[in-house]
Amino acid sequence: MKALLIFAFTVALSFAQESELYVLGVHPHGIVIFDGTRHEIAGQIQTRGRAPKELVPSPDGKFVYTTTDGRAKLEVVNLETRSIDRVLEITPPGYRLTIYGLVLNGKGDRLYVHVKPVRELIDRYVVDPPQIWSVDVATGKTQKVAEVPQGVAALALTKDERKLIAWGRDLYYIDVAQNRITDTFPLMNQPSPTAGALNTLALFIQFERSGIFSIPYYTRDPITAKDLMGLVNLDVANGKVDVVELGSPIPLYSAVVSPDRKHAYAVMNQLLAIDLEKKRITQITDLERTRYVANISRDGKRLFVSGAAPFIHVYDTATLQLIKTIELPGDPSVTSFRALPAR
Amino acid sequence: MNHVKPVNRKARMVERAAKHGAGDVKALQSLPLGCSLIFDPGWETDAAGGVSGLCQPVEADLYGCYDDCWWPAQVPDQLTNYLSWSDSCAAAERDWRKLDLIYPDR
Repeated sequence: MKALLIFAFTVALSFAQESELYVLGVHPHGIVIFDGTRHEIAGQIQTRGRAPKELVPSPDGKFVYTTTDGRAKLEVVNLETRSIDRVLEITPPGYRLTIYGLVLNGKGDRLYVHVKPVRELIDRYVVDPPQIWSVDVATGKTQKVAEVPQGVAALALTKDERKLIAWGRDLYYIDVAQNRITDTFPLMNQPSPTAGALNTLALFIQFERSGIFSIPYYTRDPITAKDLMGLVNLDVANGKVDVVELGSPIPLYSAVVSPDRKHAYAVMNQLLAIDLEKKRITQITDLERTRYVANISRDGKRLFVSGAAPFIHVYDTATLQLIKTIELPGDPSVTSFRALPAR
Repeated sequence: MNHVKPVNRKARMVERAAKHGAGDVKALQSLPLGCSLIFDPGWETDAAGGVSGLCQPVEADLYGCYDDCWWPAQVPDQLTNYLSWSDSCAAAERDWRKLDLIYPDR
């Protein structure tokens, strides 16, 4: 009985001490591991290429896949050894690739990347159509999935893994088996003249807490000529979209949804708290500097705000009070800020 | 305008563009959609002609513009031409004096 109690106490203690970890890239060559429980930097990893952008953790939390060197390199970061395992060589000879959008399947053995290939010929460059490739993580072998229109910035994969969702000027649903776009949710290209184009910038991807990929939109009502803003909320599991109108525009770069899906928080020069059920902004606070991106703790009580300048600010989500500022070794710039899966 | 006829190649191109539209701009193929197209934060002034919608301070946004080439005329671009520009300066807000000017190749 005593041994059982000691075992139970040890297990409880290890759970209590388990930290929530986050990763973000920094200039000039690094990834920072941030401890969201203790509000401190837990480690740094030197990347081979410069300025990591996309960061996609593996389901077991042991690896992170990242794009570096002007989105041209795809690196495999080993979080246990705190080093780069390898660089996936996916660029065909004579080409230059720019990667905007990276997602991993549930098993962790296949990456989907959105690439913008340019053929570098002796006398000219030839721009090939943007396309999505699947990459075998073990071998680095690539296979073309489908071509997509210009403007795609991010990728998501539905829970059943049958559809990739490419976020560009519109949302494109790509059937992985059929290798083609089978459905489109209009954002910029509205079918009705009474609806204004929804202008979004899907560069900041952090939906791991809620499963909702939320991006601010801006539009002009074609009837009233009034400028409006809101959130486009994509449920990554099933691909359903909810457009939440919030009123007059406030410049925002990105948003994150709370784990209970009741609130969202958006940042640029201000930090906004949004009630998603009532569809209204409930609090606004001025930030001391421009921020690009925010992520949220597992319990939804702490907001970690970063991007742009070399800091992570910790905010209380109930009051929007600043709790702590952590200085980073370099500018995160337009990096992703992702939560690592619990291990 | 009905009485104006194009007399040189450029004028004919302008007329064709006006008639058929410019189509997709492939010169910007490296970008998904610049933030300038999202809410016009602007470089010197914001969409409303003021400065409150600009990034603050400007150094905080410097690498954002550099990394993804939002303002290729004002800031060097990392995507194609100046990959190593930020090597000597990890944080622009702290150490912007370490950043060098860019002299394009002639």
